[in-house]
Amino acid sequence: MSKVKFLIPFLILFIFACGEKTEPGTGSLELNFSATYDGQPLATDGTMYDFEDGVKLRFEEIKFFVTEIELTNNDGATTSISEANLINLGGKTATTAVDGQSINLNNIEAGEYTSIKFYVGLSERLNNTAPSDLPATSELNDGIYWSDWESFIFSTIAGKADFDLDGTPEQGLTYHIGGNQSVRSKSFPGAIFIQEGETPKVDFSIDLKDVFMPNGVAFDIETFNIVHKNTDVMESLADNMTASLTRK
Amino acid sequence: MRKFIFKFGWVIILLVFQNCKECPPDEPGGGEPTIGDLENIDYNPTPYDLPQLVDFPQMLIPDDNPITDQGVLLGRMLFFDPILSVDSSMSCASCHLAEQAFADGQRFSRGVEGGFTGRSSMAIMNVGFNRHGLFWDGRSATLEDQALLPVEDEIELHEDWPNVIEKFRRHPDYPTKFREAFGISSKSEITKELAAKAIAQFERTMIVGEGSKFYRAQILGEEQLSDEELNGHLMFFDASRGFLPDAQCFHCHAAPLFTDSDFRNNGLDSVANVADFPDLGRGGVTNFQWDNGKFAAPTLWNIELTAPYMHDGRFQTLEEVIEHYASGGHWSPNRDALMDSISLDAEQKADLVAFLKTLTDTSFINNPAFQDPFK
Repeated sequence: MSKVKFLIPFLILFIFACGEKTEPGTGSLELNFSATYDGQPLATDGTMYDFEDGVKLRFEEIKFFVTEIELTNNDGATTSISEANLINLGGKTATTAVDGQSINLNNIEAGEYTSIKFYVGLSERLNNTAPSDLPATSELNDGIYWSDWESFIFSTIAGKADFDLDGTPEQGLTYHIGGNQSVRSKSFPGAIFIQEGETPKVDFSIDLKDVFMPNGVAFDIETFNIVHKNTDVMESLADNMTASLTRK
Repeated sequence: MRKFIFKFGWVIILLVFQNCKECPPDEPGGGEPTIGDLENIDYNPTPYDLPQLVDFPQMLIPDDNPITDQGVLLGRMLFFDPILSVDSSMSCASCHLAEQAFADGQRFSRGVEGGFTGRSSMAIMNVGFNRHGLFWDGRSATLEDQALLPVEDEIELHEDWPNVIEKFRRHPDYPTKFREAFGISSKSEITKELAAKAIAQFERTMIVGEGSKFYRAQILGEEQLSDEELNGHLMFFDASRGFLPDAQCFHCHAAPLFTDSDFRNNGLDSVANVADFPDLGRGGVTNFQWDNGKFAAPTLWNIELTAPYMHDGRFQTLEEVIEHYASGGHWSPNRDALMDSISLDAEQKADLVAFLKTLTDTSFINNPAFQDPFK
C-alpha cells in the first residue's frame, strides 16, 4: 500500500503538469460584447436594417477598442485588469451575432467588486503613445495608428445606405473615430464576484440604432457618410457609441 | 493487485514526462539516424540583432521561435534551395525574386511542372509585422504555418515533407545547420516544423523601408519630398486640410507599414451575388459568404517593383491601379464602403504615383543578407 501512496504525488503531477497556471488568490473574468440593431442581433452579412424615411442601412464592419479596464470595490478602490482589447463584431450572421466576442481576463485579485469601468476607445494616456512605444504584445498593434493625426483609430463602423430606396445600398458609410477629443469612458455598476477557479461573465451590448438614431433623432448619414477628421461629428459618434453600450 | 497498480503507476509516471515534452517528430520512412549523432557539434545560438526602424512597431516574435543568427542562416539556405521541390528545380526564391521585392513579376506564378498557381506571388517584405494572416486570403495565421504549405502544394513545389526531411538528413550540411540553429542532437530530430521555423526566422529579418526616400524625408526629416511627391503624400493621407482631394489610400495602407493586413473587396469584379466571385478569397477561408471576393491589402513598400498588381496581377502599372481606385471599381454587394469614385485630375494621379515611388527601397532588394547564399 505504501508503494501505491508513493505514486499519488506523481499522479497529481500528471494531471496538473500541463494545465494553465493561475496565481493563488486570483480569478478570471469573461467580458462579452455583442451588437444589436433596435434590440435584434446585428448581422454583418448583407442584412438590411430600417433607418428613417424608408432608408435602409447595412453594416459590414464594427470594431472598437476597450481600454484601461478596471474594477471598483465597495471602498472605491480600483483594480486594473486589462490595458487594451480590440472588439471586432464583424463577420456575423444573425445567429452568430448573439455570441458576440468574448475577452478573458485572468489573474484578477479575488474579491467583491461593485462596478466595471473602461474607455470606449482609447484613454488619452494610451492615445498619446505611438505603435513604436508599445510592447509587441499590445493589442493596440491590432488596430490602426494614423501618424498624420497622431491618433489611433478608436473605433470603426462601416457599411452602406440605400438612399434612393431601390433596394440596393450604393452609398458607402465609413466612420473612423479617433483623437483625444473623442476619448470617452463609462462605468457600469453591478456586482462582480471574482474567486479562485471561477470565471464569471459580464455581458455588454451596443445598439447601432441608438448610435445612428439616438432618442429617435437620425444622424445625418447622407451628409456625413465618410468621417475621419470632422472632430465635431467624431465626438458626437463617440458620445452615441458610449451611451449605446450597455451592460446586460 | 498491488503489484499491478505499482507497475501501472510507473507507466503513468513515464507518461507524465512524455506528456510535457514537445511531440516527437513524424518519422519519415527509410534512414536509421544514430541517436546523438550531432552532439559533438557546438550549439551556441546567437540572438539575431533585428533592426528597429524609427516609428515602426515592435515585431511580435513567437516565444518558441526566437530569431538567431544560426536560424536565419538556415532559413535563408532553405528559402533559396530547390531541395524543397519534387524535382529539385524550384525553391521559394523561384517565385520570390529579390529584384522584384520578393514577388515574381508574373500574373500567376508557375510551379515545378509548369502549371500556373491561381494567384500572383506576394512580395515578402515586413511580413513579420503581419498579425492578420499570410497569403492573399490569410489562410495561414503565422509565418511558421505559411512556410509549410507551398512544399506540398500540387502546383507549386509538389513535394512531400517526409521526402524533404529525408533529403535534409542525407545532406552534407543541413544536419549540422539544424543542430546549430535548434540544438537537435540527432538527424532524426529534423522536422518540417523546424524547417518552417528557420524560414520564418529568415523572413522576419526582411524589414523594408530604411533605404527609401519616404523614410529619410517623412520619418527622419533628413530630406525633402518634391512638390509632386508632397502633393501625392497629402492626398494619400488626406492631410492637405482640404486643398487637395482625399484619395482615401491611408485607410488600408497606413504608415509605417503601409498596410493594415486586413481583407477587403476593392471592387475588382462585378458580381450580383457574393456567391458568384470567381475567386472566393478570404471567404474561402472563413466560410463567411460576406468575406467572398476579399483579399489582403498588401504593403506598398517597394510597390514600384512588385508589378503586376492585385491578387490576380490584372494591373500592369501603378497608373492603372490609380485609375481603378479613382473610378471606384466595379460594384458588387460587399464592395468596400470606401470604394467610391474620387475626382482626381491627371496631375493629381501622377502625384500619387510619384509619392508611391518614394516608398522604393533598393537597399532592401540589394541587401546581401537576403541574397542567394549558394552563389
